[in-house]
Amino acid sequence: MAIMKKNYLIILLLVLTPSTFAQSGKVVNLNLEDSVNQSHFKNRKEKGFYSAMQVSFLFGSAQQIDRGSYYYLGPEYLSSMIAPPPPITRNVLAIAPSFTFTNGYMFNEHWAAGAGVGFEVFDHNLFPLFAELRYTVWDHKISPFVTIKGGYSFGSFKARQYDQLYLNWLPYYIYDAELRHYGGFMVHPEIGVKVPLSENSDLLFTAAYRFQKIKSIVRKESDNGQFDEWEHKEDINRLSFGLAIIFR
Amino acid sequence: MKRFFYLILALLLLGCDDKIEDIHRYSRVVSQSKEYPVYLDMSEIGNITVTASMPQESPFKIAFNDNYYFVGDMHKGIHVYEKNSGSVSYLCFIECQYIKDFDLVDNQIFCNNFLDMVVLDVSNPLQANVLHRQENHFNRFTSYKEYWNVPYLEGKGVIVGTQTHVLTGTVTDEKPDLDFTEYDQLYGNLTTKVLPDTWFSSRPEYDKPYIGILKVGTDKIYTYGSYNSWAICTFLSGAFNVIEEDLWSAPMGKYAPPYYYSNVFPVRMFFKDSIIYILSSGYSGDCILYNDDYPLSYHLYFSDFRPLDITYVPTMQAFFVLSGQSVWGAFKNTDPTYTVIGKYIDYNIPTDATSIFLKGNSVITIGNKLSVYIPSENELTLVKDYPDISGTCYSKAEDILAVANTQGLFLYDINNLENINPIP
Repeated sequence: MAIMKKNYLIILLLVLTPSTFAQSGKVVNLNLEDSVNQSHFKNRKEKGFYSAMQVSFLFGSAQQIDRGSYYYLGPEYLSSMIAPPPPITRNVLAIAPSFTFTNGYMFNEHWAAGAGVGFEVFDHNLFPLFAELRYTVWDHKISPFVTIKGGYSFGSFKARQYDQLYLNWLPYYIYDAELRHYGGFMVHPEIGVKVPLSENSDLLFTAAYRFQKIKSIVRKESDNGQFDEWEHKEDINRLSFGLAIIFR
Repeated sequence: MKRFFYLILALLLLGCDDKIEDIHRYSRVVSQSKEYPVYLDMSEIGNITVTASMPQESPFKIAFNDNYYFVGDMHKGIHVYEKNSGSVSYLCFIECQYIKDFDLVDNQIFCNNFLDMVVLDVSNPLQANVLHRQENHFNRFTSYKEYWNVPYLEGKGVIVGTQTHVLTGTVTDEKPDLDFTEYDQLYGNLTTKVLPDTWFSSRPEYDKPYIGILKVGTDKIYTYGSYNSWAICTFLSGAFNVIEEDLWSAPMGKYAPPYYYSNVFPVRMFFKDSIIYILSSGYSGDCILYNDDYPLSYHLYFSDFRPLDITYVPTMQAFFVLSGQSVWGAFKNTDPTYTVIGKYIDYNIPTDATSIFLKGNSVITIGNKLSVYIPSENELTLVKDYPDISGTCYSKAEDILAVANTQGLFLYDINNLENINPIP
């Protein structure tokens, strides 16, 4: 729990600090009505730093075991070579919320590049660290844009000991074992529509495909160097829909 | 447009399945065991020797030629009696372990030595020697009858048991089995000279191996073939030869090949009244007969007992069967092409006889006594009992009856069945 709190604090600091810097003391006018009525803004900054905050939901099909059909087989399966019978699995709609924050630099009215961090909730939490390259068609009016994000999502930074552990993958249940989630490579190509809100801000509606590798390891150790270790790897494919706001 | 959008979205979502890979690694200290076969060392069992004498414990068959009587002693060997102007005298004992059947072709004995077929030269029994040994001859059943065999590995021999050896060590997911190489070298060639007691019961004829040896004609020895067949052996001009003969063999042999019934195994084979009889055992008492009306054969079934011996009375078209407690009659069907027995009759004759044969119109039984009967369709009429004549096997040549028991071999003159006399 203490680790989680620390993570949240780090993320909060990461979000707040560059946001304050990016606005450069200018007043941000989130006047949506104006942006709709006006087709474009004059005197927008075409070069310079920008910050983007994005909230997305990642949709996809994930495997889940039917706990009702699964019964505990006892520790003898852990010490024997006999594999337990496979439980009944089913695919369910998985929705993972994602919060990211990006800082970057606009090279001109079309091209921008940046780096970001985030917090995402899959089966376990992931902390993506990524770079992005952004192309916007028109800067002064409602415009389509394309972004490619790529990087690495971090899982937990150290293993955690559990008295009892229920998993959606082998060994499904284990006691007195440690679990560590590793992240993995991520790619996040995105398209969307940018709506200028003011001289300094834009609202973005995004749709994206997300590819994310993850890895988790459960390890149970006993005397004389004996151990059992289950490695679970997933290539996650998701559709993402989100909303972002950019300050320049 | 909206519908199209939702359709695309649904397809995209359905396509967003995850690819999953699970790997299990481990390192454990385990004990693993491996069974090593123990092979039979035939050096002692296969040693066939001649000794001066040996108690006659369980005589099961008598064969004879011009000079000698040979009495098989179950699992022990063959007692040899010399003919001396009408009488006999004990000559020697040919030790042949695990013998269960034998027959004689002139001066050659064909017998089993556990699983091997052995040809012995007995022209001078005191110097009997092995002419040929056909290894594993009686252990070659195939197809659905492989379970009739005792465990055997070509090149290694009979597997009489196993030894289990346990190894303790660390196994991993990459190397899940312990290395038994050292044990393989130590225990890969275990041997013993002793057969397990559990392989043998008080009734050896019901134990494996299933042996049947029968002289047919002048020089042929019939044994069970690999599957629904005869294995016909000859030893001519120093060469041992085996021919498998089944229903499709051409030219056809004189006697129909045996049919290996399900859940039944052969117990005893003998030749009498120009008929090959095969007594078998299984879920029910069972007897299968073969005569020369190839490929016609008669099948006798008895649900309550296993037949001990059979003889055929041609004038009555009937088989007379010893059950161990009584005598049964099995009458052929009046239609000669119909091979199912037409009628079974229990004559209710209390008898523990183990041998039965026909002499003239009389049926003779031998057990703890010799009894002479006149058979008819409805009854067996006792002519005379001879309480002094007893035996477990016999042979008959014209008017001379040879009977063997634990006391030895005895000859009787059976010219007059109402006055059977011993031949001194």
